[in-house]
Amino acid sequence: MTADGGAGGEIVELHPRHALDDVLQSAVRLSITAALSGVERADFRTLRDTIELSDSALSKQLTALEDAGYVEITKERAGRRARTWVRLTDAGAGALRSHLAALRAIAELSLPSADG
Amino acid sequence: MDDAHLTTQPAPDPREAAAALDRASRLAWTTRAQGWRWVRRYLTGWAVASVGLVLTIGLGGRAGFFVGMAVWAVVVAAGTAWSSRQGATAAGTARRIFVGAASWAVVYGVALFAGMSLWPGLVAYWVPAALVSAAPLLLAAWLPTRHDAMATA
Repeated sequence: MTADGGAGGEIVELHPRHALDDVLQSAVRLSITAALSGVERADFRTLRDTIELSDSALSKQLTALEDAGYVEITKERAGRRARTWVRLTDAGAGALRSHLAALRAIAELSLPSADG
Repeated sequence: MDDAHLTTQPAPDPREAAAALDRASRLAWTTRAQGWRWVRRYLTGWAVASVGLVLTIGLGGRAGFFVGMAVWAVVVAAGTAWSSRQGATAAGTARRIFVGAASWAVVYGVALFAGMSLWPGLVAYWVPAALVSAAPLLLAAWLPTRHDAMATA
């Protein structure tokens, strides 16, 4: 990641952490979007069991992701029971891609050797 | 320098970043595998039922036709109920099921029409015809999926 350094016009190389997505900095929200990236849609129960979360914790994180525009939540009636489906939006998929790219860049970072 | 794009969040260290990448990749793989697993089972079950149906109709005469259709109705209802309970839908699922079902309908129709007209009750025709009727569904079930451009790939 680079940024314009100012009046001199020099390009400054920024640490890849600046490309991390603030919403996806939460490990649980990253897990939810990653799980959704593998499918067209998944229901609440599947997400809960895959990520190993309580209903209330998953519900809270899904609301945060929906507010950010990263997931779309729909309810379908099947007989007497309502079923909640979750889908990753294009914005969510894009944010996930960028966040994972930043994580890859961080994972590849190494400290300079002592002898310079 | 404009710092609007700078994060205030603490950065993970390289090891934490690698662990997060690994977990994201495993979760994406898990849901994707779950999404395809039930489609494969569904289409394979349909293929097995098709072999039974074609044999029952072809070799069972008039009674075979009614028994076959009655059992088929139960199998279709059970398959529909079971598939509607699955909680993960892989990308391309509807297209794959449609292509498998449409191809099966054509093969099944031709096999039945030709067999009833030309070789009613002939084992040498109905056994291969029954096996051929399963082929479109088995192909739809087991042909490798195109590797989707997953974000975690």
